[in-house]
Amino acid sequence: MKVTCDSNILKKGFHLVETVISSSNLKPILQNVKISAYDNSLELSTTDLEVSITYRMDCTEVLEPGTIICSENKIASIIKEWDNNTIEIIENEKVCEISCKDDYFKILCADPEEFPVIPDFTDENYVEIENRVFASMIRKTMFIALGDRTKTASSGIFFDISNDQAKMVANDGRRLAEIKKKINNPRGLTISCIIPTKGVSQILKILSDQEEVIRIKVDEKRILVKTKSSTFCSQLIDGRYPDYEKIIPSDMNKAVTLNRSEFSTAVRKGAIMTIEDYKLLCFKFFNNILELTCSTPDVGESKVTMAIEYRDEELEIGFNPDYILDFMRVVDTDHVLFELRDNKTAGIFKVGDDYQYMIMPLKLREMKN
Amino acid sequence: MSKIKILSQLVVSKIAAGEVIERPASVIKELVENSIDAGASRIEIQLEDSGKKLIRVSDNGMGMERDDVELAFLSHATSKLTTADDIFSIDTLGFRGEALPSIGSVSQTRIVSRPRGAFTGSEISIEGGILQKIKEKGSPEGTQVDVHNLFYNTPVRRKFLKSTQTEMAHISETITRFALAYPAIHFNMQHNGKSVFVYPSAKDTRERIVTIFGNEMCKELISVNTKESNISINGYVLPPNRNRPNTKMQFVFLNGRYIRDSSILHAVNAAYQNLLMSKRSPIVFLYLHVDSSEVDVNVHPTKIEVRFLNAGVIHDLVYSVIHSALKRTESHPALQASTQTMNSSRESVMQSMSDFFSETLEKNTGFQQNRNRNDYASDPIEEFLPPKNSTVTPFLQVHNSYIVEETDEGLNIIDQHALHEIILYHEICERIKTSKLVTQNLLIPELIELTPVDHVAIMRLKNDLDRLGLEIDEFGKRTIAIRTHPQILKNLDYRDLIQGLLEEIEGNETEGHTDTILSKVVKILACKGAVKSGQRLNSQEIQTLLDKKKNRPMTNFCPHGRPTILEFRISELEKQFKRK
Ligand SMILES: Nc1ncnc2c1ncn2[C@@H]1O[C@H](COP(=O)(O)OP(=O)(O)OP(=O)(O)O)[C@@H](O)[C@H]1O
Ligand SMILES: [Mg+2]
Repeated sequence: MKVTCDSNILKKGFHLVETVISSSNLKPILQNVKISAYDNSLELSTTDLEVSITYRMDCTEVLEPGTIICSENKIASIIKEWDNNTIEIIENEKVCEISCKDDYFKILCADPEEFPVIPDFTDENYVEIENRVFASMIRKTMFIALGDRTKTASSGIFFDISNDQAKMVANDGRRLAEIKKKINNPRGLTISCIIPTKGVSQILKILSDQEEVIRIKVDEKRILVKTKSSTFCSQLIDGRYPDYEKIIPSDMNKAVTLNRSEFSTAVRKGAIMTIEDYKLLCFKFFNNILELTCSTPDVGESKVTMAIEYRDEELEIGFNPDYILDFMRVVDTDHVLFELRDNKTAGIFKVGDDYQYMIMPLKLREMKN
Repeated sequence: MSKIKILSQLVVSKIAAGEVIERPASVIKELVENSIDAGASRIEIQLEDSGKKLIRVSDNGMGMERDDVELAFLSHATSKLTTADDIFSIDTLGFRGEALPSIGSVSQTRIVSRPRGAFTGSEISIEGGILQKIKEKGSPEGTQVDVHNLFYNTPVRRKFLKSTQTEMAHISETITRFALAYPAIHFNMQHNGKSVFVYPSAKDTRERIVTIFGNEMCKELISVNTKESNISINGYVLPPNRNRPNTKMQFVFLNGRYIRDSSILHAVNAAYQNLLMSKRSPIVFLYLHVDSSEVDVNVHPTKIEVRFLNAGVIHDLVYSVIHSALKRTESHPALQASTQTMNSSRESVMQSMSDFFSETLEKNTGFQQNRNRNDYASDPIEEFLPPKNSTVTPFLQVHNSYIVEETDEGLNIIDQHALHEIILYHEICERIKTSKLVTQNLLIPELIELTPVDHVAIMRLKNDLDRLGLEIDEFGKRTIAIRTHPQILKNLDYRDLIQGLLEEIEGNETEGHTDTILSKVVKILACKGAVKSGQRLNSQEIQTLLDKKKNRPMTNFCPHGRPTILEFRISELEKQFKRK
């Protein structure tokens, strides 16, 4: 193999693929990167067996195609040292030589046979989605799954496509987000799978901010996402996603439209007096007023009021303020609708008719001794 | 034709003698054994007042002729042995001809039996050892034995019977063993007119295990199978992460008989060595078949102990079959670490210490480019740097289990789990006292499948659990639904929690003292909610833990009374290093 390449482009590639390299050294071969040179492009691939990433670069000059497997850490460290330079990589008898200006390195390579096969696909059984739509679906659900340490079927993100609708759902047992988007699905493919949170956050990294249509393919065990420059693959979580639609209450009888930034500010203020182990903020809706109160033992108390448009029956209900702020951070409209019923039923935030976020209330246990 | 014979004095003298009736469960053991020996395919047990008032065992076995019924209560009357040589090749569960007479001497007992194909049955009663006249009696085919008022004539022994809960626990343990040994037999049990369980005839042991212990656990069964000359072993074992605090879940059956054999149990434990924490026991279901001439069951009157001709061979076989089965199924990575030799574990301490120091160095110099591969990862739970100039004392986590903390006088080594446990314990207690416990409703109730006996035990705790913010509901006969959890306990593994509760209350005598039950529940909540040993903590988590310790007295011992902190004084260290 013999190629020359712009160091900046290589840097970008390594930056992406190194996120997959596992820090455990149980399998030393996985600490490597696979560099493959084709007639007119260069590919970098890494994998930890659960996920894999391939990054393709066009602007290279391939003098002699070939494949090498070598330490990702070493080669990335070398390349990071050079800005705006042309780098030459030559492989000869399992030795990789890298040179740039006056510097010269030699890295011993591993046998390409030992490196796991990096999944890819060329067939037509994929669904196309606009990358920004896909990224926004991920952002609007992933935040829930991030903090969940348990490893159950519901701790990943549920991804579902049927007809012309794509859907993502995440829950951590206490709250749930669901987002739906219309897509083009001329082949009428259906997808229903659970993607591990780690995989989802990595998908986000390969999505560029340019307008682009990406391809998604799901088989029994994995999901593959292909953009112009990268291919990503993640194992799926085995199991059936809980039948969440059943638990979304439909008979809500109170509703209030909230200004996102005002409401966020009020909740943030209200949460100041809470502590990690005592996250209880009481929301009282009455007479066009929202009153947020909090009283944390050994810490202090607070009362924050905000004018709202609310004429329904008075309601007092407790929520974890963090759960609300998490949501407000990913909302990109000025207003959200908040639907409620009573202090035992979940509250549901709605943005448009395609995004909803449901949180279960808290209660203060009154004990009579 | 009468089949029961009175054993000759010679044979009697060779039989291991002794009292076998201690409590209702032992009566049930003897009666069910008789039903199984009689070839029953369906055995029903009815109890009143945990068997203290009534034990009734009915079967659909071969039944007894009138003459046999008359002999059954006589000492050393059995149909299962005749000559002394027979003792060395016993194929039935009973052989002493002693069980019914022993039961008859301490209760008011009645047998009704009708042989298969006979027109009518016969009935005989015995009261405190005194036989009544035999009568003709219409009855279904098979045998029914009613034992009323056990120990009515021996008040001291009656007084020593334990609470309903305890006696029921013994009984269900007894039945569980039979049910596992004979999956094809239908068993059901009623207590005070209410059904406790029904184990319908199963096609194999696996199916029976599922009926008794639920699908959840059984998904992980690892089958074991081996055969060597006259010995065959098969059954199932569970992976090391499924374990118990005692050996009650180690079921070993020899030719259809539940046995406790220290050599076999030793082999089981050896196979799990290094895979389990100390004081935890694996779960196994082992079925041994050995030629009956190669084992002596006539060692102890309860027949629970046996003597093998080839004890060594059996030990090694049990060990190797389990060992290789566990090896086949990948073992838990976190547990592999403990198989390291002393040397490499010292290395890992050195490694983590040097990691720690290099980390602190970098933090202090602000030099950390290229340091963390995940810098770009959008993982928001990454470590925060401790604020500069703060009075943070240096600390370090070793083996993902202990925290070493510098103090003014020297250093502390803290057991992270034990410390967090006691802190949570105090916190929950305080919240209960001040009625300030926040509970989080769950989106989807967490469903947990239990054995029928455990189900009853947990539902008894419903009110206590409620007070602690853990609301549970009955969800079918053997499933409970958890609807809320106390906010203070995050990332609870509910299954683990419920299991822990069951272990804590098992066979406990503190009925009625809700306060102690409550404190037990708090203990378990604290234990299950606390960070685990072997769990990697980030520096912020460690800092929070240490801060809480500072602000709270009485944290030197965990709720189980073990120390949480070991203190080492610098002066001590200096002495040891012979600097002073
Ligand atoms: N359920 C039953 N169905 C048919 N026969 C029975 C039943 N129960 C007892 N018998 C008869 O009564 C006899 C005496 O029973 P008993 O339990 O006292 O002695 P055993 O079973 O022979 O020996 P062991 O004392 O070891 O149990 C048995 O040998 C059997 O013939
Ligand atoms: Mg018997």
